[in-house]
Amino acid sequence: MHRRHRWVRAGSVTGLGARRWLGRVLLVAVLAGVWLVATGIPAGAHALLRESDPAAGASLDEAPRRVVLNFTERPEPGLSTIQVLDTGGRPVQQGEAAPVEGSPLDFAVDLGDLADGTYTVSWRVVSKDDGHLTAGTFAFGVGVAAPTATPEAQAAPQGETPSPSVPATAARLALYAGLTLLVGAAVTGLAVFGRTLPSGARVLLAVAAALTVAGGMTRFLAERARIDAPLGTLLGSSTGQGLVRLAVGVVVTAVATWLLATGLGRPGMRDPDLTVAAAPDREGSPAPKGEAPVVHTPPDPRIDTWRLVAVGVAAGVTMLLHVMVGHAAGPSPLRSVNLLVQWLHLLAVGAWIGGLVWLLAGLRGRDRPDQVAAAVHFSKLAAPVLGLVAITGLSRALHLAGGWQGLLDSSYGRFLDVKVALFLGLVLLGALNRFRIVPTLAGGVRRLGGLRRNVRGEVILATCILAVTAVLSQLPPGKFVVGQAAARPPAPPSVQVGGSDFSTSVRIALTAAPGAPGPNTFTARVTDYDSGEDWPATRVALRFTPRGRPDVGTSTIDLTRAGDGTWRGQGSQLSIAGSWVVIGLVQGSGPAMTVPMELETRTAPQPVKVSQAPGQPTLYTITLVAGGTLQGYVDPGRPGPNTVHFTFFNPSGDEQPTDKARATMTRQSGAPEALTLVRLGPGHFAANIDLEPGRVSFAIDAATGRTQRGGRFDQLIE
Amino acid sequence: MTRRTASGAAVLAVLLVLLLALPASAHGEHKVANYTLVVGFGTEPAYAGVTNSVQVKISNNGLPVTDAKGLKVAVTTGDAEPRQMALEPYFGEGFGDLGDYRAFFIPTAPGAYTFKITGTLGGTKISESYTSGKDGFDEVTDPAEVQYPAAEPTGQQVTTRLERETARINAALATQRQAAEDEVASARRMAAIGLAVGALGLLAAIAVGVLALRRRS
Repeated sequence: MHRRHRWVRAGSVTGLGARRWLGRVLLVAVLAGVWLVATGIPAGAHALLRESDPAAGASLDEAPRRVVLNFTERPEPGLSTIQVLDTGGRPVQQGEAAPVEGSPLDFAVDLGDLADGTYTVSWRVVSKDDGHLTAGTFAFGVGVAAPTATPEAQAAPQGETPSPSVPATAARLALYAGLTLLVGAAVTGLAVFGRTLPSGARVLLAVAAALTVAGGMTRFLAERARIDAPLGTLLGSSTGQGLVRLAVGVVVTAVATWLLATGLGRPGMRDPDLTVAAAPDREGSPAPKGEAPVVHTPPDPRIDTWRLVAVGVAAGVTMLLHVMVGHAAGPSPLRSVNLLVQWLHLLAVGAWIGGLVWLLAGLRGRDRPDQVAAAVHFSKLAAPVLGLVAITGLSRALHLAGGWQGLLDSSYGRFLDVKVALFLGLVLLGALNRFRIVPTLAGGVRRLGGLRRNVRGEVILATCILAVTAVLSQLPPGKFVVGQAAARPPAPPSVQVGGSDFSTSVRIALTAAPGAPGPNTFTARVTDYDSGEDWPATRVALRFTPRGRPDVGTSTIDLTRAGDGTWRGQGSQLSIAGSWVVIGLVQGSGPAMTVPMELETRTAPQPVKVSQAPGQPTLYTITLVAGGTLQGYVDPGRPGPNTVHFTFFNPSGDEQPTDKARATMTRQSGAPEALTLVRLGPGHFAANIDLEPGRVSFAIDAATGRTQRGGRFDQLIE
Repeated sequence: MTRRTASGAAVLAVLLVLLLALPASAHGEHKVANYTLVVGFGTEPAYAGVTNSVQVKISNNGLPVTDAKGLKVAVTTGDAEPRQMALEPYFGEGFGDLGDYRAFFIPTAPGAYTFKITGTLGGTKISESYTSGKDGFDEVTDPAEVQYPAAEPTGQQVTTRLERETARINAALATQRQAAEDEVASARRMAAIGLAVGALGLLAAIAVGVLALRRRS
């Protein structure tokens, strides 16, 4: 009765402590969750688009022959696609996208002959390194103004991937938990419990094996669902093969676990019931007189070493296979080191956290001296293992986090912050065990309630860490996100001018986008001349007068307030190429002010068509803004003496009579050289030149009456 | 074609050319009761700093109105106080166009101007506002746009510039004065400290001397 009373009391104290611990841990987890939700978990990507050729928003004079995308991780050829669509949504790419030889991070697709227009590149890439899916879209123009990029589009990352799914997270958590338990079983079985395992080991091993198998299989299914590729295609890819290898590892681990479980045919020495049966009554009362004490000779409880080693090795190798389809497998000169460090990290986590679970299992039942011995052994083992966890974890975090910015700005960094916070809590509890509780127990105190409570708290915290890690491993590393932010697509082309009024009251910073003749968006920032603060204007207008063109009238546009001291308007005031006088009118309190500015339009890209025929010089046909075309070619187009020809044609295809012309040639990294032109026809000019290997640019400006025409083309001489 | 027809066509063509060659007049035409008001600047394009006028041509069924009296116009630009002026006939015996009423002023700032015309026309009370740009007549522009060979600022621009520069000079002088005052104050403090230290030194010397004399005695 007394014994029962003591058990109940101890049990109630333990229960209270556990509830308190559980409450605290839950509070921490809830707070962490709230923080993560509040700061958002933006969908990220792993194989992120670093840059592209053509660049996003580029406006090309010449149609590209292919599209090349450069990613942060290697794209998986069979599972990744690039589509290039014209404005009608028709694909214009030729063949399948494939990695560029010698540049595994480059993924390219060939294009057919593209007409002038806007094209959309839509890509969907599965990382060969970690199997994660990313997708994105951008546009470029051929012979037309660059597609307008909105600020929102510029701010969006180049590539999106779905947020971590619940099945994928659960699969990873199960896999981590199962493998951790099995590594912990091997380590504690060999180093803590003396080739035995605590009572209930069969159940725990079964749970571990079930978690491992379920985690491995669910992960395969979740990855397949996410990649959305036929099974055959998936299995043929390196990503699929990595998952298959992981599945094999999982099965082998399950078999090794079964072998270990069958080796537990005899009750373990830590079985309290067996101990009770074999030992005298706890109250010290002797066996009833006249009855011979029933002595059960316990069979040898020790497990075959090879069974423990087999489980440890199998689980360890499966961890390695998991590591090989994760972030650590990403492209890096230190890839082998990264893989090794990550693997060591998982092994150390398995030994420590898995060991804690087994220690907790060993602490079950009534307080016994062998439990104290196990705690002391585990404490000695845990210290170096914890150091290894910290060092390898820190190393991986430094490699992936992307500095302070990555820790604060990326969802990966925020999850890492939570993981580190939980880890510090775990370290605190571990230190409490190591320096307070275990020395007390080793000193002769035989009450294990405090130790059990602490270890239980450690196990709960460790479970939280594994859950965070399950999400973390599906997010793009912070360093990629930071790098991606730095490599955002360039702002759309524009022309910027500025000026101030005579009375030095205000300044205007004017941006015309795209700055080429035609429709433009005008953005004016009006500020105080001295302080630079926003000027309290009530009206801002721009008056445009082309310089040197009295035949073209003046036009005015009223801008509307766009906030933050900026005024914006759209119009076609810049109707022709050249220099414009722009008068900014600022009205507000006091007399209105005028701000004179001078704006030079950006040269609009000229569509150039290149025609090549065997044995013939390459012919460049340039569509001119003023109408008609310019044809140019270099004969013979090889190093040595050459003749460059320029011929102007009117829109009906006849040679365009031209009054005068002047042409230049610019060699690679050289200054423009004036060419001595010889007239060969009404609109046909030629010049004799001497060429060396390299790229040469030719430009010609001609005038017919008041009409100016001009064009340029480049040729590679080899 | 007869000679008479050809001559008539030629005269018509000359008249047409002359008509088209007249300077463009950007004025807004507005219907008010039975009257037609053509409103604009008397001289267009209107330049800041150059004498100009509010011009209102009044007609009734195509006939110029010559007896309008008591019409007023309030001119405003930006947030400046409106300037009230009387619209006076700008025609007479052998002078001007009938029905042309003016109020002369010099617009000193470029930008949009609003003319608010009030009064009575043939017993009908009118109160109409017209703004340059949107109501058919040009805004006042900066003369610098057309000045040649050198652009000269308007008096108002020079005045504003002087005010700005004066404010900057005053601010710079105030800063320098403050710095000088700070330096003077600092020098005074140092002098006071020096005097105090000197006085203490003197007192110490006297004390030492007195003590020495006492010991000797």
